Amino acid sequence: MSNLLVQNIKHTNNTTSMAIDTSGQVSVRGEGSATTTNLQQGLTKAWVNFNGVGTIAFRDSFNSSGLTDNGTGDYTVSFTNDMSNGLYSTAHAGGQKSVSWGIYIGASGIHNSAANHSFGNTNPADSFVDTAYACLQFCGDLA
Amino acid sequence: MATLKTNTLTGTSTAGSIAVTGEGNSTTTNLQQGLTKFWMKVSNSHTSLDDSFNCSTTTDAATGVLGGTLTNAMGNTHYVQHVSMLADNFAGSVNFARWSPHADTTNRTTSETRSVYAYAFSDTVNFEDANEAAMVSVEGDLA
Repeated sequence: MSNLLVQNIKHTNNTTSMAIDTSGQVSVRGEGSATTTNLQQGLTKAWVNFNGVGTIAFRDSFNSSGLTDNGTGDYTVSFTNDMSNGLYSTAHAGGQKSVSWGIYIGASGIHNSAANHSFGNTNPADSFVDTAYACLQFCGDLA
Repeated sequence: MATLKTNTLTGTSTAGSIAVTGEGNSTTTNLQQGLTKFWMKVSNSHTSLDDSFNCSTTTDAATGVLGGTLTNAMGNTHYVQHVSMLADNFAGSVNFARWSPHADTTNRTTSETRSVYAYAFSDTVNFEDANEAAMVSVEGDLA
């Protein structure tokens, strides 16, 4: 592995694109060029698309090592690389495939930790239901 | 101060895979997989984009049903998507942004693609237009 020791990455026209501080944090030039944004904090740290009906399984995922079926509409996603705490942001979406465009409401907060995230899917009647298509996105700081 | 001038950053082992040190400096995360691959904000007319990224067009398919086309397609159909809406035409009812992995609104068991999808908005019973705005984001792997 070769290492390149730099503090700034610029376009060949000399416009600064990224700057790296002493802790390795990268600030990236914003679209409007008026400010910068933090690369690490702007990245989604994990995402999952899984089938939550029957034998649950990932369709695709990032930084997610496992799924647990805790009961009807009740799941846990484990992270490969842990978050720094349980205070990360989560976005949920879900639906069914063949019966209807069913609405499912992701209910976070059953149990959040740096290592995993448990959540439930409910229907509008507030009953837990399995969902054929569950999508979650996790934003926050890595450990 | 060391400065690198370049127009392109490319992974050495895999061109489309670059590791970034996390906030806590104890692990790394993947730059490409952490980036949002698509987002759009559809205007209240349902036919135009207020703003977007990697979106070539939006389609008003039916009442409460919108579609989007990705400029650069995803690598598979298992990407993660989240939908939200703003509306003031749901008097006295709950607003839901329904999510569907299917582009075909009449035959929901077909037409999964890597570049086109559909989603719908409803109250507890009927499809309704999101008369203020509709917003979508997608995470996953690009082709």
